[in-house]
Amino acid sequence: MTVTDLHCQPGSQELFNGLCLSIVAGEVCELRGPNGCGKSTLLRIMAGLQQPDNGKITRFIEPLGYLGHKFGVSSILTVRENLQWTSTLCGNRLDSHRAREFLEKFQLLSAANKSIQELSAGQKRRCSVICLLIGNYKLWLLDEPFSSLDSSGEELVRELIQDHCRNGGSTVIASHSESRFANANQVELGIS
Amino acid sequence: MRLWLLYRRELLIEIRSGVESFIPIVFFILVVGIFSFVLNEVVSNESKVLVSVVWITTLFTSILSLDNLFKRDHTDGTLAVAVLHSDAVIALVVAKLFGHWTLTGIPITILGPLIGLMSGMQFEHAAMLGLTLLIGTPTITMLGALVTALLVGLGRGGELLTILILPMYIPILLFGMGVCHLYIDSAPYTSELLWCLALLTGTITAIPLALGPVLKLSQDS
Repeated sequence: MTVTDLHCQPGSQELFNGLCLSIVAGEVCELRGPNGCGKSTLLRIMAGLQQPDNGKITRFIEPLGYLGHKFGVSSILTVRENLQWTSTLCGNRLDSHRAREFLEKFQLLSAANKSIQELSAGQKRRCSVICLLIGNYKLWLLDEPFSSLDSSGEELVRELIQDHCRNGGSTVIASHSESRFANANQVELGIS
Repeated sequence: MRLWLLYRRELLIEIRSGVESFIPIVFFILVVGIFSFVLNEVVSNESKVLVSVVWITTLFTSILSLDNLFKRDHTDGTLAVAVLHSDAVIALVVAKLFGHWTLTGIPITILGPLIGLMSGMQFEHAAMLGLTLLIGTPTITMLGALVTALLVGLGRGGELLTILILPMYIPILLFGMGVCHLYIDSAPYTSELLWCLALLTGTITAIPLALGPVLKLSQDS
């Protein structure tokens, strides 16, 4: 994915002007900056959910795996039904062995048949990460993926991101977490 | 297969939502029932009155039910995920619309003529009312979905929906009701019926294709 000369000014405050970015296979790109500097906006623009005022986004891979502030899972359906839905969207049948493996890894196996609204925020976040994995997306756009997660959950997601990039995938991540990814491309955004 | 799974999901969500999903149909039964009870003499002598009541109530029932069509998915973020899958979004939209019609349009198509019969409407008049509702309710779902999709990102569907949607419903209301009135008067009705079919064909062909980009656009608000 390439971002060329991006300009975004929602209202009176300019978030970025002339921003250029290139995401290549196997790369982790970390977006850093204070609240309100435009990290989430940039991710939404990269995903195609928001239009920039100016600039060009070239996506070489579609669809993208996007994890926003909302969990992106249907609260009225069960964990398993949500995984099924993600597979259907991606045009695949749900691989039940793989789904079970992820559910075990994220300690959600016992909650697989519970509806999302019965789960804690951390469990919901875990479920949305599993959906991301089930979708087999090459490029992940993650907006605060560690929010609501406990330390073991955060560690697990970090490992998954690193594995994903080792296997040729790419990740753009907006995070406030103190620990950073080794060898990540750090992009500092600031309010101008 | 994909379409079936997506359709099944829509039905599951609606059924698990419980009372909320069935309120529009209860509203329809209450309004049409009250009219036919209060205006019992007029209705039993003049089928046209009940036909008009059924058609107008159908429009308001549709507005009540359409408000939730995309709102739930928008609130939990699944709509944003779905619109990123450009190859799946049409199937998703068709499943959603068909699911909505299954739970709103089909019951109205059955209940409208049934209440008519119970109020003393002739069988053939009730059958024609059923036929026009069968053509009209999917058209209403399609037109309503377009406006709902435009408003979903604004988070204030209810009040705007009513104002924007009603004028769009006028053609199908006039033709649908017109066919029944002409049939009751034993006048030729083919032209009006063909207009109803044309509206159905047009909306059913164009609107599912338009909804994908519209829903993506609605995320940008």
